[in-house]
Amino acid sequence: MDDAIRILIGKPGLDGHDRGAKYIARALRDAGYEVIYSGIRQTPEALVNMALQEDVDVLGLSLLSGAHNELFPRIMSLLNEKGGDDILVFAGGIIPDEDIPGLKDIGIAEVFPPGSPIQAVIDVIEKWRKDR
Amino acid sequence: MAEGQVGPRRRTDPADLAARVRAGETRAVARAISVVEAGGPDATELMQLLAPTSGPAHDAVRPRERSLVAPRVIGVTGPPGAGKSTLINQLVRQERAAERRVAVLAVDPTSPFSGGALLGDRIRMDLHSTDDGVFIRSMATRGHHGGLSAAAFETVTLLRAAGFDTTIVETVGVGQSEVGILSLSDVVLLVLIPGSGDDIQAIKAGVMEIADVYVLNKADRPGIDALERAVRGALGETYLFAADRAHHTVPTDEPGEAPARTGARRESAGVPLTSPVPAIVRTVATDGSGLEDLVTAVERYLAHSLETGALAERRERRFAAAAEDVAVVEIKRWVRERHESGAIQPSELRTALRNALDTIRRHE
Amino acid sequence: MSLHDERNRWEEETLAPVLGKFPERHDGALTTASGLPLERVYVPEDAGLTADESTFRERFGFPGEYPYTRGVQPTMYRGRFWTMRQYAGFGTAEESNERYKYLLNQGQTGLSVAFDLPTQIGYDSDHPMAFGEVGKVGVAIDSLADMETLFANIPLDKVSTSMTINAPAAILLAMYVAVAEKQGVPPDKLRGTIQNDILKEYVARGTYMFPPAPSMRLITNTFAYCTEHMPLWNSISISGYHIREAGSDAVQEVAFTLADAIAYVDAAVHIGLDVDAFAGRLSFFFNASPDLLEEVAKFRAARRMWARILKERFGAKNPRSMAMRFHAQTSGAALTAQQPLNNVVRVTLHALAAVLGGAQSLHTNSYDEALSLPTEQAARTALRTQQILAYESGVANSIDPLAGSYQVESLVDEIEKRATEYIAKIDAAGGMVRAIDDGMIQNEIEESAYRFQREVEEGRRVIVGINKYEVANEPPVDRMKHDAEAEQRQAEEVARVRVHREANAVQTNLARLESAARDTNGDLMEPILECVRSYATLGEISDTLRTVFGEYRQHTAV
Repeated sequence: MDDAIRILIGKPGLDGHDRGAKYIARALRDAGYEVIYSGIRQTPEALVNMALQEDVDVLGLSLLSGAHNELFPRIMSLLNEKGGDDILVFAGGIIPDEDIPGLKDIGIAEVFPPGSPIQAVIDVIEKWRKDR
Repeated sequence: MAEGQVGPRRRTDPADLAARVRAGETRAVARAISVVEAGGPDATELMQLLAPTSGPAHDAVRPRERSLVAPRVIGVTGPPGAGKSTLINQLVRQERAAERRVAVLAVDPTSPFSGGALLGDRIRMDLHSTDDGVFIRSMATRGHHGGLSAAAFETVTLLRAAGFDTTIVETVGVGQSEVGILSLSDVVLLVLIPGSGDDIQAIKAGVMEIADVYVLNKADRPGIDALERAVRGALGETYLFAADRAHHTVPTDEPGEAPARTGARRESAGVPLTSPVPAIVRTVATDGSGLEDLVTAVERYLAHSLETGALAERRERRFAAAAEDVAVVEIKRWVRERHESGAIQPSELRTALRNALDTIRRHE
Repeated sequence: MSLHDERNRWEEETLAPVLGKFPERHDGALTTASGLPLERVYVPEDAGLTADESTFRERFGFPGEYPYTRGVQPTMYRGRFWTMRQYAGFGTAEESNERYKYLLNQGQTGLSVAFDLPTQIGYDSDHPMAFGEVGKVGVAIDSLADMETLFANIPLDKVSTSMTINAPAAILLAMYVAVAEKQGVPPDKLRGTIQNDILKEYVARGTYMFPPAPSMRLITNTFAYCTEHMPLWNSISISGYHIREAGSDAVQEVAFTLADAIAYVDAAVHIGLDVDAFAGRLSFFFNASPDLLEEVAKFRAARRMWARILKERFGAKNPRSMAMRFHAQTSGAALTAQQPLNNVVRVTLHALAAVLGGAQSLHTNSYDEALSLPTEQAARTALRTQQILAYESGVANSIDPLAGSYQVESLVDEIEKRATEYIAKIDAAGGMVRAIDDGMIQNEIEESAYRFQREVEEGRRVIVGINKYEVANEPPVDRMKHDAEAEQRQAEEVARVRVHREANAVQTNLARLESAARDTNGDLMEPILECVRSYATLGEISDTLRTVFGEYRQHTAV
């Protein structure tokens, strides 16, 4: 493809359940993107460094432990601080509806509940690509 | 989207980018690599700005000028599961201990079906993910408008401009383009593990020949002796001096000229004849055993290559290969454009190209 | 001799001695809802069929007899229902203690402690890596002080306690022993289980700390300790549950779990333990997934395989060593965040599979599992599901009721055949530890997971509410709220503990532990117990071991 979009699928926090993250990574690869999977147990600092070094266009965060309200804001502020504020960020995992507005306020474009089809993720990426 | 454009995010002015690369700014280096990968006009401008005064480009322009062994390009290849990334993690640690800044370029195949790619063994390199002296970048084999070899070559150049002393290039070593990249390295490490002995013959032709250091990893496993015998066998019995080597092989062989038969095979695979004899090293990457031996083997190899002129020759070839890569890509693009405005005969094309090249020669 | 005679023999030889000690629920007078008589256990002749007697014994046998296809106890649920053991824990030790007392009050018969992730990975609550995770997926335990609070007013000689703890299992076991000491309960009176299964952490669950070799050593150390001091304690719970949750299929779940088990037995035998001295305390933990009949077949196949492996591969003599006792938990991955009440039905089916498959204990998931930690109401419904199955469904009134189903028995054979092939492949690769090191197991699981998910995406596999019968704008359900202050309180608590203990004793004990760890043959349980008793924290003990053992890094890419 002409302009391969680069995506980092990141697992912040300590939870080791990465079935979903690995699936998303592979499915996005199959949809034609260049995808990097961070592996589990990444600190916000490590994830942001990865995103910047890999110069990704998109950062997808997967978290199932319930620590999103602590970890996501730290990731977003590090991204802004280090010049990664033009990266599209989305999230998935066990994230209660009532937490979603707060996460969108800090710049997370979309939050996908478990069971979301991969096409929903692709749609968000492609819409963003078109709008830029 | 037009070729040469870097993703859907905001564009960075090449001059600004070059300045920030020189300042060693991680974000800028990362973006610059994307620009180079995209291979558009910004890439040309960027590389012109970065090339003249930076180390390796300098080396490339005047390859005969033998300066220092650094900046080095270490190629690492081997089958999946051989422990390459664990080994690279250890190498990175060694480089950091020697206060060298190190970049890792992990090259992964692009899916022939979707055009997408799963990149990088990030998982295994997280030890260094918050160290500013370590830069880790993944690269897909396809989709490079400027050609993969050129992208890799220019990436090494700009990493040098940003102050990185060593670049480690990792490939799975399965496709032609990966082998092509490896041949650009100053030294190539082939990582093998016990149990793979029978498969040695199955390792893609071209990989065995270009390896300079055979790393027999997971050496604490049974079957390690069989693996070493298999490697020696594959290399030819006249190759290494098996009789006087200790049971546990370390790179005891003083670098010297390769025996004619092996040398010829390596030469035909693109390795300069002046290159030293390859070494065999046993390691257990997970606990670091054998790492010192490996580092010694690599250092000796590079030092000896420098002495014999093989290093300069390799770098010259690296430069030439990248240049050819650029030429082929540019010409192919032009041909495509011509076809889009109506098919043309190959003979017509030949004439047109020759005329164009004559014009170029006159202006040189 | 007919199979009826054979059943009479079983009643005399195997059942009668047990009945004397543990009578059946209604003196053997169990009937169907309409009053039809029920046999304890059925044989082909009861359905007017005949079977070759030796084949019957070899493949099925009778409950409590080799090869245990039909169950590990002679009475099974006619004597006593399975243990209803709901996994619970959150926030601080104090909050979890309240929940445990509530659950016991509601008729739960065993405790199952969920620890938070920092505890599972050996970080104190004030460690930077613990940021945001304290008290989230379970209770935070930093020192013996927290453990004392967790079990306050719960007599440890009366309950059995299961602890989902792996990498630092030896440390948490030591804390449990130390709390019991303070309650005046000696270790040989303690009943329960530590998960202690590190191999599946590397491939499926992710809470590893050390590389495989020292991890295996910690496990064999706990085996040795339990063999000597805790005869009623299960020293490991070898878990296929998480392998299945990570996306494996039923065959892989059985194969990889048994391959893990083989690796543990090998390791224990290697350090000189007699297989019959410890194998009887090995327990298992499986997933109860949606495909009802395949699941029943899976449980029965696993039992038969384990019996054969112990007897044939390890030369075990004691029948106890060959009897696979297992805990089951209903699948979390099969629950949906969409239309969450549908999960009540799903959980019922999953639980039914576990009961028909002869589980010794069971956790039923709460319907809100895919949304958050369970609310009190959801947790109660989950427990009620088990109670309804036990008291109302009738499936617990005869033993192994699906035996002889052509389909089920055929599936049992097929699962056994395929899982045996996997184990042979793993043996050929040099055993489970090496197969994991090479990424072979991880790749197998990932391929299955990916295939499954593609089928769902492409609509070839229907999940109600996900890719069929969806509803728009679902009404919100109640959720359990995390206590945002818990992390702060817990961090302050561990800091307080560090100030108020005897610092010299801690330093001495940690130093002793370190030197014991450096001696590659030394026992670690006693030195860990000393550390725990002096209120050394989980993080301090873990760090001491990390210094010596190093840390494991994940190996596989996608």
